Formats: sequence, structure tokens, C-alpha cells
Amino acid sequence: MKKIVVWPLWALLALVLLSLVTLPVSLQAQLVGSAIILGAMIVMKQFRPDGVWRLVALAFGTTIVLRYVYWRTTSTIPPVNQIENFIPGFLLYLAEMYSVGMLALSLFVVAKPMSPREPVMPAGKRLPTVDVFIPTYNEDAEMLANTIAAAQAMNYPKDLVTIWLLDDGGTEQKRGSDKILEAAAAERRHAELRGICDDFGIRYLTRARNEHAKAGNLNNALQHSHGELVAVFDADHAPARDFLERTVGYFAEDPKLFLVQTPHFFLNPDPVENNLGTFEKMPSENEMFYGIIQRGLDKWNGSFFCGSAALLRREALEQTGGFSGVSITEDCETAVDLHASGWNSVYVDKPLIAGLQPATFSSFIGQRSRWAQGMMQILLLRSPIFKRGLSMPQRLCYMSSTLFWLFPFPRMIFLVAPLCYLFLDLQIFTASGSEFLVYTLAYMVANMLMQNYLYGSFRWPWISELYEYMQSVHLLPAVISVMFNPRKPTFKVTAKDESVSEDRLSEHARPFFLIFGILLAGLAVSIYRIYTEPWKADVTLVVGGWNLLNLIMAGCALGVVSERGQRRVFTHRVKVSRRCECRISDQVYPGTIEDVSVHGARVVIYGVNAAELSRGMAGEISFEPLTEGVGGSLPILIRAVGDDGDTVALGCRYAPETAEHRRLIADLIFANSAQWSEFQISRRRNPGVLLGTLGFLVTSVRATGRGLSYALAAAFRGSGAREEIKGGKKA
Amino acid sequence: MKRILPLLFAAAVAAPALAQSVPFDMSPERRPADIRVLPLGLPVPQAPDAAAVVPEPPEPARLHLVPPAETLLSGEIALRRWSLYLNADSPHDAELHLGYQNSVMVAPEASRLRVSINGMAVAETAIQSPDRVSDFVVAIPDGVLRHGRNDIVLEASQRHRTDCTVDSTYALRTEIDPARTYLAFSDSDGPRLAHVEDIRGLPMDARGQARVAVAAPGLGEDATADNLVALAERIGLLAEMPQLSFTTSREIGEDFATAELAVAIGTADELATLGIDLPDEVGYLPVSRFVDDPVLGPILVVGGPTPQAVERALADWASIMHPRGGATETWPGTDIPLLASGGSIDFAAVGLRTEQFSGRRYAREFDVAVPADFYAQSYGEAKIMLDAAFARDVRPGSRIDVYVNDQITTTLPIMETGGGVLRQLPIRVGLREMRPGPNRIRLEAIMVTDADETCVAGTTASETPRFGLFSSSRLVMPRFARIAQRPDLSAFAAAAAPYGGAGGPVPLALDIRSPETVAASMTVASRLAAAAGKVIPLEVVAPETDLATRSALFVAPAARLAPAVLAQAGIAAPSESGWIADEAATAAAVPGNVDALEEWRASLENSPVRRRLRDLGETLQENFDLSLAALRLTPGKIEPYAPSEADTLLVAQASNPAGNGTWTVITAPDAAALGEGAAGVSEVRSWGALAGRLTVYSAVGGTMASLPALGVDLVPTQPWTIANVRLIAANWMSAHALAYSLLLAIACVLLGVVTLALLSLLGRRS
Repeated sequence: MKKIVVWPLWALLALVLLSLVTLPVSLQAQLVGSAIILGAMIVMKQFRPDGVWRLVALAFGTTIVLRYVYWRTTSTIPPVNQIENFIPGFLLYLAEMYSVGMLALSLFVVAKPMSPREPVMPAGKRLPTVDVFIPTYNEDAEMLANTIAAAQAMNYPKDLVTIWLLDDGGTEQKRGSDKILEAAAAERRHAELRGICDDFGIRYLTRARNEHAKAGNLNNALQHSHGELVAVFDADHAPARDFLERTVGYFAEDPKLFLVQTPHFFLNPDPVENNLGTFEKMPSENEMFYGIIQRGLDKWNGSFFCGSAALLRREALEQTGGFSGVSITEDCETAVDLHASGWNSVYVDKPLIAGLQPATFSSFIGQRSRWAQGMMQILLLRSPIFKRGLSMPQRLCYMSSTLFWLFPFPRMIFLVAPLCYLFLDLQIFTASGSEFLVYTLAYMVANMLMQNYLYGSFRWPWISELYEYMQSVHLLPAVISVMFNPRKPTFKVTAKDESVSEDRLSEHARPFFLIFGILLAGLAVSIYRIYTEPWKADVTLVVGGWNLLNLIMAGCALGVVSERGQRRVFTHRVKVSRRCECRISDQVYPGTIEDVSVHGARVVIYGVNAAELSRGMAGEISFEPLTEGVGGSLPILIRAVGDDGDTVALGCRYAPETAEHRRLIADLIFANSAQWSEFQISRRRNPGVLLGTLGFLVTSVRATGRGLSYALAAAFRGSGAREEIKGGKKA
Repeated sequence: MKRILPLLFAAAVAAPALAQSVPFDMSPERRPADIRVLPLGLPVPQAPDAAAVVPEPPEPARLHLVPPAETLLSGEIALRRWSLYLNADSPHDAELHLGYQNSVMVAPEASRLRVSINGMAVAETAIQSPDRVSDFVVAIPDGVLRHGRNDIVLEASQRHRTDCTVDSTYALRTEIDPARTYLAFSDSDGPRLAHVEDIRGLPMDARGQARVAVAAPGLGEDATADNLVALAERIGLLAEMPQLSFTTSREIGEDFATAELAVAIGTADELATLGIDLPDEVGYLPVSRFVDDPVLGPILVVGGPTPQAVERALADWASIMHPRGGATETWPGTDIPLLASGGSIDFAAVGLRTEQFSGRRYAREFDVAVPADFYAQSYGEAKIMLDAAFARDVRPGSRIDVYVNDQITTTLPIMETGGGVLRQLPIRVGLREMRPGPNRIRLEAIMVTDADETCVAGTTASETPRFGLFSSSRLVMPRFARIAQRPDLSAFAAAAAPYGGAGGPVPLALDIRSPETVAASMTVASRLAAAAGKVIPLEVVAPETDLATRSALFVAPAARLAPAVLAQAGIAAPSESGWIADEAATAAAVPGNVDALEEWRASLENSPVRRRLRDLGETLQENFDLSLAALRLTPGKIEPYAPSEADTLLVAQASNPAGNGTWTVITAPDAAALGEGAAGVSEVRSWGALAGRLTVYSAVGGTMASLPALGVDLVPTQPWTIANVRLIAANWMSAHALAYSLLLAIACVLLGVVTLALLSLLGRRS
């Protein structure tokens, strides 16, 4: 009933604002208007507005953006008869309008993200049966064992849970390969994984042919299982003990619910974080998606399946013929189909799995290429905007998620546009210096402020731009190829266990150095032209400034592609603080486990002489597991000894031999999901636009220096370092 | 008259050469070499009095040619164009007399002065008279002059003797002496006043004025006053003189002999008292006819048996007041094209032609008019779509400037080297200086080259083209807001707005017993009719009449106006103004006090904070043309203007007390000043300078100053359309930037609140 009043009122106000915004007022009025509105946005920012004031601030920003769009559209496009200016000018215009369009879609999506949901405990009711699917293709056994152990440790009646290891690396097709080496490896893998499954007492499943990649694998498993709910965990995504407790309850509440998705939390840094050294202090790239956007999508019943860390309803999947496999992002595609058939989804904003993400720039690019291509396939083959059955908000949500992946186009256009003027003297943006200041600068500031209002503590200024630039260089050809041939891309598994043993340049580094060089030349040309062509110094300054911005970004990218070698596999260490007993050489010492990672732990023991201990010694630790039915002690190898006087700190590496050992490791790392949340929250602070920008500048200067020094080193060494990639090369 | 020169032939051949239509190329300028240069202007003896130059001219046979506003030819190229109405049928044996003097910097071998009439070049000379006024006489070929409007073009091409800088081009000036520049006719062919229509060809004197002496024995009666004003309007509308002034008296005055037009008006009985020959039918018919008085020359008699018949006689003029040209898109009474909202016009249509230019400062101007309810000064932007080219040696740093009413609005820098052709290149022209009525737009191309830097001898005379303008260039006017403003004296001057619109008779409050006041009203009325392009029905009323709910005009000395009228018009009462020398008031200003105050102010203004603020203000003003006035939310309070002794005439406009009409008050310290001031202010250029809410005219030097309107009422003139309302809002908001910002902010806040309400209704609730 209220809607009848509120909708027309909203439409009326929007119309009023729109008509005010499209008044062709003078530059002077625009100057005063933008100054006042930006001022208000900045002042309001200091009070960390929430609720209505957040929306008011966003309305302010929208006003400035719309003014810019109006002006940009009506006054700045070069005349058509200057074709050499018009074409690049119009492309630039399209790129900007794309950015504005995406901003509009984001505004809609995250207008009012859902607050974190109260956990719905499944107690008291009849609990549904759950099949846990762990699809694997080429991940190594150790990683799988951790995941299986963690899955087994989930709090849920054991007789209701069936865990399935879905091995696509040991299919009959693989084992019978014509290439003898491959066939032998598949056979070996088949046997090894079977053994592990028997150890853990879970089901091993493989199939005849590798059809439809991951979707096919999951569908095969659907045919062999019959649980009411299906949990999907990627091979490296180990669930916390409370995963099922916190997700199953929603299915009882809503019979039309097909999905409960939870965030992907990573224990290791991505290559950008690793190489810029931001992992411990800055929110991860995916936190913007899982921290805000999925919550925003959830508001519109539009949160979608992300391939893992989710619980799905079999009934729903069966209704649409299982997981969809047209695109190479089967997860999102499945969600589109189910949403369109009237099923609902829920997003739980709490990390309930911990996983690994690509550690090298190459595998990172490989992963993003798959996402980009897959989302393009969904856009082209499924056209969510026209898909029947989706609600209007859902259509907009999917448009936002798929169109996002067109970003390589505008990103590259923004890179090239200033060069058109600097090198070729094209005038692709007709505006005077003062107009540029009043409209464009105001727009840029408003845009940054809005991003900060929307994502402040999840995404620091310029970081989106950096990630987009990093990906654009390699994603552009990938996206273009999908456009020409939407059915061509095939599923490639992202390698997440590669690591870099020593400092080296990524094999994808070359274009970044090339671009950096060109932009540097652009900077030189700007300076030269400011002095030699003083009559257009104002335009040169503006364009040169823009190019400088690109150069800073490109410089930062050099640091990203210069991969830091890791002496040890760097993963995040989770603080635990658990009492334990440590047995070394038949002596038992009391101690505390201080932090743990996937590979090892730091244990502080008491009453031992440090001199008696040395690197390489074997031992065992035992502690009170949080998981029921787990016991015994965990073998370790001492990797480092630190003498702190009364106590000795040991750096240990796990040496698991049995499934029981794995369960102990899983209990240490994955038992307590609260720790992951704490870690995330510790990184979530909003530096603000100004400090964030300064910080980015410093990072960029450092990264540029590091990138150039790596390049010099590589030039001296030759390309020898390229071969030294440790771990399976699988992509 | 015996100087029959072989010009006829030469001029006939020259005409096509002048009408250039060559597309731009880089070949040397095609100069009208076929025109014979006439070594004239030298043999005329120097004489202090221009009248002595020509032997015994019969008075009507000399027609002054140049209005005072058109006498200066400045810069490397200059062109003056105006029209002259001739009421003689294809006069033979006409001669052109031209007196000019140029500045000493003009190089005679490279500088030329040309006169064309009706597109035919009739005279060309080297400009070579730096130390005195030279006269130059040519016969005008038969058939060039015609009955009706004649198009006169005066054109100069001037080069500096030595200097190649752009600045030096400002030193190039040729001044036409209007007293010594005229058309001379043989006795039989000369223009004459025989029919009422001939008033169109009313001659002007050497100062560009035409005086009309009116004898009205019924002066002082209401009916006569109405008829006099109606007469003045009709004469003003017919004659279109640069300056027309009226005098009136009960009998034939002394000025009858010297006036350019003498009129007797009244009933037959009244006219009989004047002692002139009258047409017989005046006793029984409405009559408007010239009679030739042996002593006084032609006298226009307007009469009839009764006052109503006189009125009727005037009304009958309607048959000859057909609109000139017939085209609807010109400004009333001129050839100036009217650019309606969303219109566009070729340069060819505003009189610019395709031409090449070899100097360094190309300057051409043209006029376009906008309607009286033009309301786009604060936001509007027209475009010139320029077709032009510049040569290879033109350096970056050259530029093209656009001026509107002598204020620069746009500079387009030339960035390219190596020449270029500009095709329909848009140049944005801000409309800040645009005013209702005719506006002058000047295009200047400053073309600098390396050759100018070195400036070897002969560079200035070079004829290698640097710049070419194509007449296919266009001025494109966007759709602009249309609503009348009150007060707005510029719209009043341009179109007699709001009185020129349709509606009942407009009360004109004046003291009919004062001949000077009546004459001043007639002068104003003639100009108003010319501005409106039609006869405005004016109804003379006494100054005491209550006009609070009507639109009205007041023409009276300040003392004769009710204090309420002055107050309404924002003029201080006479007791507080310099118009009544009040010794007490002068004494009140204690010098010591003023000085102390002044010191205080100065010291405050130099405080660092104040200076910083002022610097900021200046920066904003310079870069964005943003004044603090635009940041006001409420209009400033109107301080009544206290006229000073030096002010001859005040024109003030305000809304009437009821707020539903416009009062325009024209006042002066006394009746004599009113007459003098009215004549001065109705000179076409001065009239065009009326602006704002109040304009002061000072007869000393003819200077004018205006006060801007602070709070403006908007009076709709157009049907309500969304498009127009939107543009009106754009202009208003541009002028009230702070109000605009606040409106935006309020809209945002409301939208934010309602969005929250909407979001809580839509989607899932958290």
C-alpha cells in the first residue's frame, strides 16, 4: 500500500533532480554548485554517515556525475566532420559512459546491502541429508587430504553427511590416454586418491569421460548421490566446523531456496598483494565482492553461486537438469537458470571456508580470463537482461555482474586517449581548461568519493583501477575472442599451488614494461610540449596530468609483475593459542600453539634447553581437538628454533601420515572460523580518499623502482629464472 | 558639376570584380585593379567652412551622407555600411563629395579607400591625407542611385608604413568628415519633399541630425497633444533617422526655416491662424500634404475640419507605412536579421563575403538582432560554424577572437602549424553581452607570421594571403529562453517593450501645457515607434492620473512628477538630488569624517585576510567570470538613485505599484533639460545604450551610465512550454548560482530520504 505513495514520490523527485541537472546553466553556476555539493560530501564523510545520510551523499555524487554526463554528451564530442578526432573521441565517450553505467548499476546493487544475517540453527527440526562434493582435476593429494579432513570435521550428524571426492584427473579417458606418460600419471593419481578416500572413509567417484568439465563432474556426482542438499567445496577450500550449522537452517525456512553462498576466504595473498606487500594490512580484492556486493545482490534475491563454499538444494538442481555447462563459469550460469525458474538464494556474510588463491601472476591472469570469458558467455548466450522469469532487480544484478567484465575496453581506451593528443595531436575532447576543471575534475572527485562511500573500508582508492589495469592487458584479447566466438572458450582449472622460489619477472611481464615505456615517452612529450608550445600549455597540462596518472598506475603494475621469491610458501598464519604437549626425543614439554598455517605451526614450549633442539628433528604434538571423535598426536618436523629465555619457539612443519593426522591439522586450522573474520576485520579500515591516494602513490613509486630493478637483474641474468617454477604447472 | 570623368565606364567594369566569390586559394589577392585610381581630393582649396567648398549649392541639392556613428575606419580592413533613402527618381549628375583624414602611420601606397553605392564601386583612392582633411569628388554614374533605399558601403584597406606588429594595426585610422561628405545633385534632380512618403528621405544635417519643427496652434489641449504624439510616432517610423528631434510651438517658430522638416498641424480653424497657404480641402477633409511656402520651403500640413479629422488624417498614413523589405526575419526598421530561438544564418546573409586577407588583423563585423524577450544572457551560448583557412606561414599563437557588442567572448587559438582549412569549426560564443534588439558581432583573426617578426621593408604591403573567410560560415543560435524582464531598459530601447506589444492604448503622462515637455515626448515617441516598428497607441494623460494598475510612460521634469512615481521608479526625491542645489545637503558632508572613514576602509582592505579574499575573488572573476553577486540569494535592496547636477536626463523603469505593468519614467531637472536630454538620448547609438533599471544621460559629452536591475520580475511573453520554462530556469539559475546549488542540495536530500523509504519497501529487508 505504501508503495503507491512512495514510488510516485520517488519518481517525481528523481524527475525534479534530473531536470535540474540537465539545465544548461552557465559554467559559473556549475562551479558554485559542484563546489558546494562536493564540499557537503566531504564534510558528511567525516561523520561516517549511515542509512539516510549515506543515500543523501550518494545522491549528491549522482548529481555531479549526471551533470558531467549531460555536459559531456552535449558539449564535448568532436564534430563528426573531423573524423580523425571524432572516432577516438567517441570511443572515449563510450568508455566513459560505460563507466558511468556501471556506477549506476553498482549504485542499484549496493543501494542497501543486507546486514549480516542472524544464523539460523537447524536444531529441533528434521535435518536434511547432505552430500559434500569435492571436485578435483589436478590438485595434489596433500591439499585434498586437508580439505577432506576439514569436511569430515564439520558439526553435523555423521550419518546424514556423505563426502564425495569427484576426481576428474583419474577418469577412464585420462587413464586410457594415448600418451603413455599422461595415462600412467592418471593411473597413479587414481590409485593414490582412492587410497586417501579409503583412509578417511569417504566416497571416491570418477567417470568415463571428461565432458562439460566441472559442471559435468558435479552432474555425474548428482546422479550417483541422493542427499537433499549438496555442498560444493573446491579442492583447496576447507570448510570450518560450523559450515553446515550456519547454512542448512535457511533451507527449512524457505522451500524455494536453492542456494546458500558463503564468502571465499583466502589464507594466502594474490600476486598483487604478495608483490606489493599489502596482504596483512589492506582488504583483499575479493572482499569488495564478498563483503558488499554479494550482500547487495542478496537484497535483490540475486546473490549467485560462486562455484564453491555453497550449499545447494538437489530438488532445484534436478529441476533445471543439474549444473549448467554452456559457459565456463558454470556456477553463475546455474544461478541464472535457477533464479529464472523462481528459486531463491541467500548469502551468508561470514567466512566459513578457507582456501588458496593463485599465487603467481600467470595463474591469476588465467583465473581471471576464465571468469571474464565465462561471464561474457553468460552475457551473450543467456542475456540475463531479457531472460524470462528473472525479476527486474535480478536482471539488473546479473547485468552488473556480467557487464563488469567489459572493463578491459574502457581501461585500455583511458590508457591510449591521452596519447592521441600527446603523440598525434588529436583533439578528442573539446573543452577549455576551466570547463575541464569544473566538470571533469568535479566528476572525478565525486566518483572517488562515491566509491569511498560505497566500498570505503573494503576497497582503497585506486586499487580497483590497478586490478583492472593489471587484468586488462591480458583480458582484452580474451574478451574479444569470446565476442567473436562465444562457444569457443573451454574450462581451464586455475592452479593455486604454484609458488615462486626466487625473485623473478612474471612471464606475463613484457607488455607492462612496454606500456610503461610508452607512457614514459608520453610524459617526456608532455614536458617538451609545455615548453615549446606555450599557447596550448593548459591543454597539455591537463592531458599530461592524465597520462601521468596512467604512468603511476603502470609503474605500480611493474611491481606486481616482479614476483617476490618466497623462501617458504607464504600463507596467512592464523593465531590460535592452544595448549599442547610437545614430544621431542621422548621428552614431553608443555607448550602453546601460537599460530598455524596450512603447512605448519609455531609452538612455544617451556622447560627445554634450546641447544638440545635443532632443525630437522622430528617430534609430535598433541592437543585437545575441538572436533568430536578426533584424537591422537600430530607428527612434526622442526624447521626453526628460537630461544626466548624461559621458552623456546619452534617453527614446525607438519608431517602427516594418516587421515587422523590430517584431521588434527584441519582441527587446528579450520576449526574456528571466527579467527578468519577477525583477520578480515583487522584489515578493513577506510583510509579515505586523500590518504588512500597518497598511500597508493607511495606504493606505486616503490613498486616502480622494484619493477625496474627486477628488469635490470633479469637483463643481466638472461631468462634463466623463468624455468624455476615450483609446483605443478597445470594451467 | 562639370567634372564629367571617365568613371562611368570604369565603375561599371569594376563592379563584378568587387563582388568576390572566389573560393579560397593561396594565390595573391585579386585586387580590383580595373578601377582607375582617381587623383582627386587635392585641388580643392582648404577652407575652414565646408559649405564654401562647393560653389553656390541650392540647399536641397546637398545630402549629407555619413551618420556620425559611421565615420571611423580603423584597422587594416574596415567596412561601414548603411543605407540612405533617396526620394528623387534616378537622379542624374549626382556627385559624391568625400572628406577624410587619416593617421600618419597609414602607408599611402598600400592603403585604399573605396566607396560603393548599391553594390557598384563609385570611387577609390589611395589613403594619403595624414595632415589635413582632403576632399575627393567623383561623379556618380547614372542609374547607380535610385529612388528609395540606397546601400552605401565605405571600405578601407590600410597598411602600416613600417610596423608589422598586430598592435600597430590599431594605429591605422581614417576618419570621414561628415560635414564634407555628401551627395550633391543638380537643381532639377535633387531630392525634394512633395509627398508624405518623402519623409523617408528626410535629409540630415552635418551632425547627422534631423530636426522637425511643429506648429500646433491647439497646443495645450488634450486632443492636440494626442495628435502631436501620434504625428511624431509616424514621422519617426517613416524617417528612420539616426537622430530625430522635435520642437513645437503654437505659431510658426524661428526654427521653421532651418528645420529639416516643418509641420503645421491642427483643425482648419487653428491652421488658419498660422498665416501660411493651406490646401483648400482642409476645411472639409482630413488632409496630410506638403505645401510649398515661398519663404519657408515645403511645410507638411496635417489638418481637417475637426480634431477627429486631424486624427483621421494621421491614421490615413497607415497606407504608406508598409513594412520595409517585407521579410519577417529582420529587426523592425532595419535590415538586421532577427535570429529567432534556434535559428541560424549564413555569413553571406549578414553581408560578409568570401575574401582573403594579407594583413595581420582581419576584422569584420555584422549585426544580428534577438527578440525583446531574449533571456539567455547568463547561460546562453551561440556557435559560429567557421569556414576559414590560414596560410602555411601562419604561426601558432595566432588566434581568432569573437566580440559581441565590443566585448570579447571567445578566443580560438590556432594550434596547427603549416596552414589549415577549418570546415564548419564550431566556435562557442557566449551570449553574456547579447541584448534585445540589434547586436554587433565582430570576428577578428590575428594572424602572425615569422615574416612579421623580422619585418623587412615592404612586409606590411605584402599581398600574400594569410587568412581566408568563407561566407558559408554560419552563426547558429541555440534555442534560448524567452521571457520579458521588468525592468529592462535595453528591451525598452530595442523594441519599445513592453509597450510595443498588442493591447490597449498606453498612457503617456505629461504636462501638455509645457511645449518643451510635449516636444520631448514627441522625440521619445518617434524613437519608440521606430524601435517598435509600428505606431504604438499612446494616450496622453496628466501626470497626476492614477496609473498604479497600468503600464505607463512618464515624461516630465522631476518636480512635476508625484513623489510616489519617483519612489516607485527608484529615483530619489528632488529635494535629495543634485538637481536642486541644496546647500544644507552639501554642508552635511563633513570632510574630516569622510577622510577618517576612508582611512579605516583602506586599512581594512589591506589586511592580509582581506587581501587574500580579494585575490580569490579576482581569480574567480578572471578564470570563471564569477562575481560574488551571483552568490546572493536575495536581490540587493534598490537604493533610490539621487541624480547629480551633471545628469541631464534620467530614464528609469520599474514595475507599477500593482505589480502588473511597467512604468518607464523619463525625467530631467527642468523642461528645457528634458527637451535637450530627449533629443540626445534618442540618437540611435545613445538609445541603444539604455540598459538596466536606470540610465543617466549627460548632455556634456553625451555620456551615459546605467544601473543594473537588481531584482527582476519575469513577465511571460510566450505560451507556456516545457522547453521554454526549462531554458528560463537555466538562465535564472545561472544568474543565481547559490540558489541553484541549494535547490540541487534540497532535491538530493529529499531524494535520499525517499530512496531510503523506497528501498525499505523493495527487495529483502535486512
